[in-house]
Amino acid sequence: MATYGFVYDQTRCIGCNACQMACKDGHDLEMGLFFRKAATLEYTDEQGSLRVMHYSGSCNHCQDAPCIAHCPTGAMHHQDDGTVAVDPLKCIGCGTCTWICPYGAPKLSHKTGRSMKCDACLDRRKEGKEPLCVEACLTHCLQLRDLDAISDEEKRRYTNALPILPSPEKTHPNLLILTKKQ
Amino acid sequence: MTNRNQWQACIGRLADFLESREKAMAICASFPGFNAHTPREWELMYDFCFRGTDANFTPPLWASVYLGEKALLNRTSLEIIRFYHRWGYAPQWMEGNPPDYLGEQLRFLEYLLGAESADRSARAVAARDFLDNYLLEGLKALSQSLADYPDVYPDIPALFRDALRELSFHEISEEDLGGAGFALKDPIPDEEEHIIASGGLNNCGGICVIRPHVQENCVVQIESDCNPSHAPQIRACVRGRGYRKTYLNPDRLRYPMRRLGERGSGQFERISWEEAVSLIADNIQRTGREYGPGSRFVLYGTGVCGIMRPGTLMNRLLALDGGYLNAYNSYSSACVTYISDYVYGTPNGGSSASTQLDAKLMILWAANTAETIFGPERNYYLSQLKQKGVKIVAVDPRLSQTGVTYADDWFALRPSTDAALADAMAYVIFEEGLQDQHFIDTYCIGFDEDHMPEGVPAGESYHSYLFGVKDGVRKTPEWAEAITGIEAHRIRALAREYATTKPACIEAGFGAQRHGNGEQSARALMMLACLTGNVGVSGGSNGANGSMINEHMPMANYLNRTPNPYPGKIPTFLWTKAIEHGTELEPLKDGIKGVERLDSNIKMLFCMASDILINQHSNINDTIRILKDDQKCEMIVCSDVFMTPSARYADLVLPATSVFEGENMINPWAGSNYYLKHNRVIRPLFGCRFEWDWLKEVAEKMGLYDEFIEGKPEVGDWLKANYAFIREKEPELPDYETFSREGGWQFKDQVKAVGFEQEIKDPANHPFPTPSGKIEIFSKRLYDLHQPDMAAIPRYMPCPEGPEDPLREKFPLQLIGWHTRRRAHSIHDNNEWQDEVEKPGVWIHPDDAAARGIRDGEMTEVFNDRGRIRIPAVVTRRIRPGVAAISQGGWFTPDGQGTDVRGSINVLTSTAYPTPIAKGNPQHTNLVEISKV
Repeated sequence: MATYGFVYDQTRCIGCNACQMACKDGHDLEMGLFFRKAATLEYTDEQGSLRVMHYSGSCNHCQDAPCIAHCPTGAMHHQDDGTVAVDPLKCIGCGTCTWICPYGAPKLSHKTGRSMKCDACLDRRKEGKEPLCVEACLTHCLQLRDLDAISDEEKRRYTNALPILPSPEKTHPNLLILTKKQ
Repeated sequence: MTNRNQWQACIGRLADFLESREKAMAICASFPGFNAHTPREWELMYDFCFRGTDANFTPPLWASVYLGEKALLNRTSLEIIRFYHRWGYAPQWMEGNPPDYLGEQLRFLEYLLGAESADRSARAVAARDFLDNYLLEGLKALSQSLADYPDVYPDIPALFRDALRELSFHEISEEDLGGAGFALKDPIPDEEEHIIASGGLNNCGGICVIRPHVQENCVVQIESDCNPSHAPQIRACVRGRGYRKTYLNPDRLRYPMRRLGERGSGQFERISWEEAVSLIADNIQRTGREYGPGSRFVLYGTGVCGIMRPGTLMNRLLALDGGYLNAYNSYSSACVTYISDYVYGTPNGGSSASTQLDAKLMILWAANTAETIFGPERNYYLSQLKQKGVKIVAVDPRLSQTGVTYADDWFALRPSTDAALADAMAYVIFEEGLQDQHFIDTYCIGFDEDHMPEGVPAGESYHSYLFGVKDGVRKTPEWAEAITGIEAHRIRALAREYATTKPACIEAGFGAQRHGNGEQSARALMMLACLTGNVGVSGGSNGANGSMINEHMPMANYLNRTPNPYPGKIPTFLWTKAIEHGTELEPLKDGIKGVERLDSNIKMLFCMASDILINQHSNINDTIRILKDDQKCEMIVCSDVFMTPSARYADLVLPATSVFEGENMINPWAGSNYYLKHNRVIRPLFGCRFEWDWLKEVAEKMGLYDEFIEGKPEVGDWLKANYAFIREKEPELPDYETFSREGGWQFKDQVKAVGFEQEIKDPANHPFPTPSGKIEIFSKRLYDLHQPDMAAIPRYMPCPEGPEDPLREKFPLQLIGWHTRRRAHSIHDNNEWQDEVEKPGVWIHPDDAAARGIRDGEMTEVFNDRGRIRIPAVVTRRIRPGVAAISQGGWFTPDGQGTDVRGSINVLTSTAYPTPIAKGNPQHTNLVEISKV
């Protein structure tokens, strides 16, 4: 047992979308479908100043994943390594997971009619490779790590709450973000 | 005739129809409406429909495309090939079409049904599956598409409609099988999925490792550098990662074509390679005879930057036939490269990306490294610098992706006022005595009155200019605030911080010098580096061309040494002028070199893997006006992989191979700490050929074959011979076979080059190659020209369509371009995955948007007297008020009224004011107005 999740160094992210493209290319995703998407978001902080951040987001493999809780067939499940995956044989394509997820991670494929999502490249990891997005990052700002093996001291450097994201209290995402000092 | 035979015959007939025009013509002759058109018209129509000769019509002919993706030879194609193989069918690649081409699918089904063999029931099931899963979908999509094609002759869609009806209403059974008199062949084993190491080939800052996964000529995935022994890794950015959707786009050019209608109409007739070769040879010889060798010109831009470079190879051929009009400068770095010669005596002063790690202050001045990439490893270093806590500042009218990522502070100056900002910084530095006096005294002339060349009156030094000796105006931060829009106190603080932090790097992007006064902006950054003694120091900078770095030996075609017998040269930006008024161009005014007057206007143009002809040159509408008249430039030859906006205006369009289909070698834009070798990943598509292969035939036609090939008939021969030549100087390199197999070589000896290090360390033995042997802040060479717009010092000079131009009353916004991450110039614009990264949009500040009633995402028109673009607004505080921005490279896509709808910024840029000294391209200096649609 382990709890794998993405560790994302936002201070190094250049917003280049290479992660998104590697993911689309490797998984042959149809237009409009993403397992990971990077964007540059602009907002005004409490002082009224311009803030801009890059964010590369995928499924956060939440501990309290609503997609699992609400899946009527048990297709959506935690794998042994803590990541969340969908069993295509059990999925009936009802779409519950796609709207219950606050991060919008699961997607319904137009081709198969079933739910699809990031499984942190399980097939690649079985071959000893990194997930596509991790391997694609130009500044090496993405990692997939066993969060159980990260010390509490190190964990304190990270957050999983960003002004652009839903509250982590809802789903307890397995996501650690290193943010810029503002 | 039995039902069975009828049925098989229907499939066979359709397969014949799609296989070739010759076979199709026999079928057309049986159409009821055949006599309504001449046979030639039928032939043209066939090619419009099925061979890509109408640029406005691209029906889905391949399963990979009609089953959902805008890509050829993907996993769907592979699925179909494996289906063929299971039943012993080896695809024949009909006229180079990928095996999932509808014609090939029909041929396969004909084979599957017709063969004699025992196992009938499994075969019937397979045939049904194949029909249902692949073929019927395709016939449906094709019928639909043909029905929507306005010019089509009705018999053609009717053929497919009828066939579709016949095939859909028939349930294949065992009765339908057999009768063709041949046995089913043994299954063909499938090739394993494997990686063929290769690299990026186009004109891109991120020349990266590309490792396509290939199986049966299908490219199923792109991997990049994940080799743990590489330090740093040469990882592909978003562009490289999306290569499949660019280079295997179904809009690929397929066969050689000659223009039918007027230039730009988009209709062509298919011709053979032999005809194309003859046409080119004849026209080269004819223009040479009638107008002289200087009437022939090769546009320099290229999407193939390997050492076997199509434009250069064309030049080689022309040189053997008496010569060609040459060009100097580029659209990238015309001003900085040209003016570096006056300041340092050479533009060659770049430093390795790794030196940035030594900086204690980094000023990213018009540098958008996160998007241009400028070496795949550069962001890796910059992010480490950031992590070290070094302060990073961005100077840019736009807060680019780079600014967002790295900058602690953003100086949003008005476009084209960079030199004014630098003047004020220099003023502060001198006023407060923060200059590096030792450096100035030792290495420079022209800063102050004590270090001036002979024969120049007093008051001409840069210091005198700053302190208003002649004009009475001190170039204070307050003076600069009025020009640049940056608050005086911030200019003061930046100047102090820059002068007192050592070493400090001004990373000079090319953006600041792509302005009407680009020489001055470029020199200003050189001046600042000299004033503070940051030249020749790791972690410093010098402002010269940052892409020319002395690491290892640059990759080049060293064995292509044929001199051009014609001495005339033009600044590359003036090629449209040289079509209309070539013989009137003057050396000082227009920058022609080598001759006093050109012998001829340009009469024959070659656009080799280039989109300069229309898209990347300024003022597209004016270029169209010039090119539409085929009495001016009589012949335009274009070789490319797509029907680009440029290819549309060519008389002869030739389909080239993509990076996946041939061999080459390359080193990156910036530096040479690694080389990449491009390997052939799949067989060439359709009738595509690499330029060398048909150029050889043109040479043969002209009686120049032996001279042209010089004993090396194949591309591989040139690569191998050049590699051997380079390897003699670079002993670390492995043998050619290893180099090829590995897809290149990253030097273990990672050279950390510092521009002008020798000149600074040992000035006695390494003088700068200027007339004075020193860095010439004051240029006597420019001073002696006595031209009011060619300043001898790096002072701010207002320029046409800058912020001070009275034209702003009519067009109040300054429009700039930038290099977006989703394209490399105009390359990848047709990649739909890149559209998901960034769509066309014009950046506009909320204040400017509100004043025009424009909200984010609303459709606007951006216009000036040169043209109009219809484009959604991106309302953002990431751009300074009074400025608008559109990323460069969108493909010119005019609607019926000539308004571009794809954000092609060169509709709005101008050719009227080349920069005064270099005659470079001021493509970021444009005044426009924006209105809501």
